[in-house]
Amino acid sequence: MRRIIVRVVSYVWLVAALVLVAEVLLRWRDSSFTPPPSRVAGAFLDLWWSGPAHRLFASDEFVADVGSSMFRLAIGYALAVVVGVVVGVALGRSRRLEWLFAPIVRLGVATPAVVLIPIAIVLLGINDRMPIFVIAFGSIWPVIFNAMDGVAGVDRLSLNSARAIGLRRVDRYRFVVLPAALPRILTGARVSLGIAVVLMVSSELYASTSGVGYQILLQQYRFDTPKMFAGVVMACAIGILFNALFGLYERWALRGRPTVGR
Amino acid sequence: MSDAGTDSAALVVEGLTKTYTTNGVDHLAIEKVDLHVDAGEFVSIVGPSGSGKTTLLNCISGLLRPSGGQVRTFGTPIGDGPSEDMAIVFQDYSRSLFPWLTVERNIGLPMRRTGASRASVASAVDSLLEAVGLPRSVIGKYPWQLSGGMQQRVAIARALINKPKILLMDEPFASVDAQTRISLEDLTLRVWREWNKSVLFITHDIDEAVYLSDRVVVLSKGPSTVKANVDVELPRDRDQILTKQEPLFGKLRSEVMDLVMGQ
Amino acid sequence: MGALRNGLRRGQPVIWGAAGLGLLVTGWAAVVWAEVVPASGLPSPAAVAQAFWGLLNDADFVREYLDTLATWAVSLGLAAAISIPLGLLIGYVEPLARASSLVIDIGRAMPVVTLIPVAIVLIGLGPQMKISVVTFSVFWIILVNTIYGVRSVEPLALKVAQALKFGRLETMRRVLLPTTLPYVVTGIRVATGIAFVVTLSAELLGATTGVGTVLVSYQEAQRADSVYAGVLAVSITGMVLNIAAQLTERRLIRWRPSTQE
Repeated sequence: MRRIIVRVVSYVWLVAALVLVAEVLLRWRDSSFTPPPSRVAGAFLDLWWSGPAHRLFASDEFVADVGSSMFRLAIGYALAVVVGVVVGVALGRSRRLEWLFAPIVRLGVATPAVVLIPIAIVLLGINDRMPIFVIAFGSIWPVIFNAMDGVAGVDRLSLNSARAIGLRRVDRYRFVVLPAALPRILTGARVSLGIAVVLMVSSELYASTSGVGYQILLQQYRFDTPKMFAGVVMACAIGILFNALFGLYERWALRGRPTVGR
Repeated sequence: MSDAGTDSAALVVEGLTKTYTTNGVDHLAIEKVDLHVDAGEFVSIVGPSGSGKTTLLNCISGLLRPSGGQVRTFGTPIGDGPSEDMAIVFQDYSRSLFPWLTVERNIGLPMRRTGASRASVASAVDSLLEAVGLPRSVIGKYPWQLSGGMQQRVAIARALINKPKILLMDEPFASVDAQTRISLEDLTLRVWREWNKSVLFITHDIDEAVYLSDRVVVLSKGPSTVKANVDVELPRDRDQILTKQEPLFGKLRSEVMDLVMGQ
Repeated sequence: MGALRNGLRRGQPVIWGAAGLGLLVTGWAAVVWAEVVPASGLPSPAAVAQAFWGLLNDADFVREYLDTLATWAVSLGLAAAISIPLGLLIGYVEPLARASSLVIDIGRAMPVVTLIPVAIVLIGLGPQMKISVVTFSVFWIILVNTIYGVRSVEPLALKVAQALKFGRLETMRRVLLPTTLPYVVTGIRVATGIAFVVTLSAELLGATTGVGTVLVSYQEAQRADSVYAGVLAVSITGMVLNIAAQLTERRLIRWRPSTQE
């Protein structure tokens, strides 16, 4: 028991110390631009958790903004992963197709996805489809690239033994090609999740009428710095939440593998 | 010599030829190989390294498309991919088993996809584990958690689950230690006898070939052709020590050795 | 004859790749021609090509473009200058490494773009804002890689250093640094791409200079062809930076059998 406490403390003390130092310094400085952590925490509760009890205290802003941010992120990212895996697997199975699309995929991977926002607005206008389009189109490339590479790199002997035990085409994909490429596919999906979160916030900061990014911007215009920070914290929390969920899925999906994860 | 080409044979290979094209240059790997395995026969193929043994096996199994010739199992020409009658055991067990599946699912996979019920797959897996001498406790383990010899036993069990009549084995024991190899050889003989299989066994080890087989087919250095068929008329109850002490064993061994080395 | 056939074979990926790009442009032209989307949303390839040429000859665009590259370079250099020494120190001191792992995880997981409005409030819209945000975003990546490099020093190598009676400094110079270097280089390679992305994000979301601001103004002026041309310029730049970073990495750490991701 004592050992566990010592261990936890050895990991946590620096974070705690930094928060404490920030608290003291910022209180002493006492500027409305740099609220101490305690005031940000207050603003966080005020902005997001001041609603009625039957909604678990979620505020109207929480329902409207966090809800729409997470909805866009989930839909856009799911699109990116599903379409990306299908396209990547198709390209990875044929050398010619891989050659045909390699420059396009490379260009896609290298394009800073945020610059898609002006294009998306030109193309779709400012509405709910715009962020979803940006998230899906911007984060699909790492999935395609890694799925393609992973499938192309599936061990020849694995494929041979799949045929040797008489697996049909569909079963070969289901039981051999996809599981063999899975670690690479997940590596791509993880990179693309990071991009998707950034794009969610960026597209809301750039132009929108709802979402956590919109709330950050709104509080910035109102010069309510604590609430602006509360928005930043919420955006980070959404990113961490999705990453944690992904981590859980990854651990489950790769259970039993000799080398887990990337 | 038995009469090649009769359709009573389990496996017949006629005029099998394989040509590779690399960098625009044609390269002949296998040239007009004829061989056959009778039903219930144990045949080994030996040849010097680089004699294209694995290529030959891949062509026979249908994993590679031959450039010429024909392969028939029980009179039926094989098409694209291995026929239902045959199963293959590869040398590299660590790659031929699927690392993302447990032992149970690895063995059961070929049967599962035929639409067999969960229970019948499970009981088949159980009896196979016993047949290949693995404890039931390995069922939930992943291949990498087992020793090399145990992994190869799993691979053999997987090959057997759909009750193939012909077993193709590609240097299956080349990468296990000597003791494990001995027990795996005897396991192979037991499976062959008790389950009445026909076996085509590829190896570079002459002792192994003579010890296991009814007949040894000697390949020449590439391009592969059949150099000789050597009948092994040792009594069938073979024993790792006694059989290898017999004068006939020594004689056959040097005969095959001469054929392999004397290019 | 054989040589020709060989050459063709080796050139195949390039030929197919070119065909792929051709296919993309043709498909795009077909979509525009069939008016699936209005031309105000998706201009024709020809119009974009023309706009692209126009941008290259536009002194304003070139100035802002160079400003973006300068921001990128300065931030990357600044981040490296801070995080490499810090990473060496943290990696070398075990308790510090443990304690900082949580801070670093939080720092890495943070979507940096959310800090842009914060930075605007605290620093304003000038170039310092961009530079601090970009520096902050890639600081973590180089830091993590440096620490990881130090931590992956082969214990046997340290024993050898002891056996050779190396002092602390000498051990650092001869064992620690050479082992760490490849990781640092990898960190900088990854940071190259991210720094570019974040620079553009800062420009799109508030800065007053840089090629991102130009893209915003085109979008607001509804000059679709220029928006597409500008994005194309940025994409190509991103790709060139990536390839350059990869080649540099490979040159610098040639002696290592496999390059770590």
